[in-house]
Amino acid sequence: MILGNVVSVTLIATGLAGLGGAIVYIVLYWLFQKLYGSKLKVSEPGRDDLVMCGMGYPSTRNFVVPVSRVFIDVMTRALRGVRRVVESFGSALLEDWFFYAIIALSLIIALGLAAGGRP
Amino acid sequence: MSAEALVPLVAQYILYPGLLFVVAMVVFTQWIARKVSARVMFRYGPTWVGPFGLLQPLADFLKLLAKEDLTNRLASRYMPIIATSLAVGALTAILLFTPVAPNPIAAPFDIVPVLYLLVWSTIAIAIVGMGTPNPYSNIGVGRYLALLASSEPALLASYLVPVILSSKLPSTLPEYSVMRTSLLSAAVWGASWVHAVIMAVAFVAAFLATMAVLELRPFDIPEAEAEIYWGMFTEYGGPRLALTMFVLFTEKIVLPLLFTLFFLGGPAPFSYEASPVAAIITIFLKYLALFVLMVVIDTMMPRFRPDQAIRFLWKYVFTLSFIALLAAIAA
Repeated sequence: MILGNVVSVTLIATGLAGLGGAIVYIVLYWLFQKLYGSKLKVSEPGRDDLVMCGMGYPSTRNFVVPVSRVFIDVMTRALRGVRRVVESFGSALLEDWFFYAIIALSLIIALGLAAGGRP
Repeated sequence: MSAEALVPLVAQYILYPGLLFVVAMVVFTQWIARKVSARVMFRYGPTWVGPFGLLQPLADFLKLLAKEDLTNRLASRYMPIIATSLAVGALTAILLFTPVAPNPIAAPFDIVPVLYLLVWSTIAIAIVGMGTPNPYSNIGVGRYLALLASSEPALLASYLVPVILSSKLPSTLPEYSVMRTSLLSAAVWGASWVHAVIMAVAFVAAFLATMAVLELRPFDIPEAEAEIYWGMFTEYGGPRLALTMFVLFTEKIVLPLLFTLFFLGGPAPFSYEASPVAAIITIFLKYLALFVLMVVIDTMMPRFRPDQAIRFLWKYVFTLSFIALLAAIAA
């Protein structure tokens, strides 16, 4: 076993990750492109102007959907129920089986630890 | 660390359990995944390339690598390739901290660099998705970030439970390390009934969080074929797609392997010190069983809506992992 401290181990792991990244890039990308991919290149007029693959024609319109808007939309729709729970705290929780299960689980663990359930 | 120790470490990193081993394992596990999912669907899966179609994933990988690297005008040319290459390097480095390595690395609190290396792949996949201007890719990245924000806290909390509990058991191994957790995992389960309850809760949370981080159904909302075309990977083909898939498949080796070590008893019932070969074989057999289970669930389950997935992760998975973490600290 190779023993060390966390700082040296982190630096070594980071260095190895960089080495691995370099090997993967050179062998799996650069070498394959040099041997095979570059021989397949065909220059056609207008091909380098494509904005999105498959469109077949160049376009100056911006099709980008803001990632932040998608993220906020998903999180808002997912957590909308939390606001309802907070606003009607008592009734919503008391109807939720998971709430009772969490209470029971926490009690079991707390009582077990209090009763000396340790190794 | 001296040069004498560094050379065998680099050799381990390149050969076993490093890059070459990872490539072989990716081919093997993807063959298993394709065969198992095919049989669930009453198909045969790959049969032509190699014995029983074993080399089909390798053939597909090489085919993609040998294609022309096409990008469109507004896409990022180099960042996705660099990010995916570094992600593979980082995931491979994690294996050196585990008992499967002949001469593993261990240090007090080395769970921290391991979790830090795990984050490289998630960031790389986000960079891949954001590397093209396609609106389907952007939607996929937004969904992916929402999924990560909900699953990563649960994953970290649940994976820390066996680390904390094993560090409270007597051992000469470095505390809060992957090695200590792996070799004492079975002892943690049997330490007391309270420990077993805490580990069971963390087990459930960790399993579900792992499924979410690996984007397996029902949590494959970032890809969501037939819903948002192919999500983050819509614009990708050729070597870019090959490297991106390589990252995803390597994640499906490293993360379930860590789950096996932390929650499935690691090398138990064999002793790692007395019979290391039997111990390593046991670890891999447990990992394969877990992997097949994940593939079956992925094949059978439908997909969550994005908001359903996020709500599920926060309400059930994170709550369980947080309770388990608090209990592990208090134990």
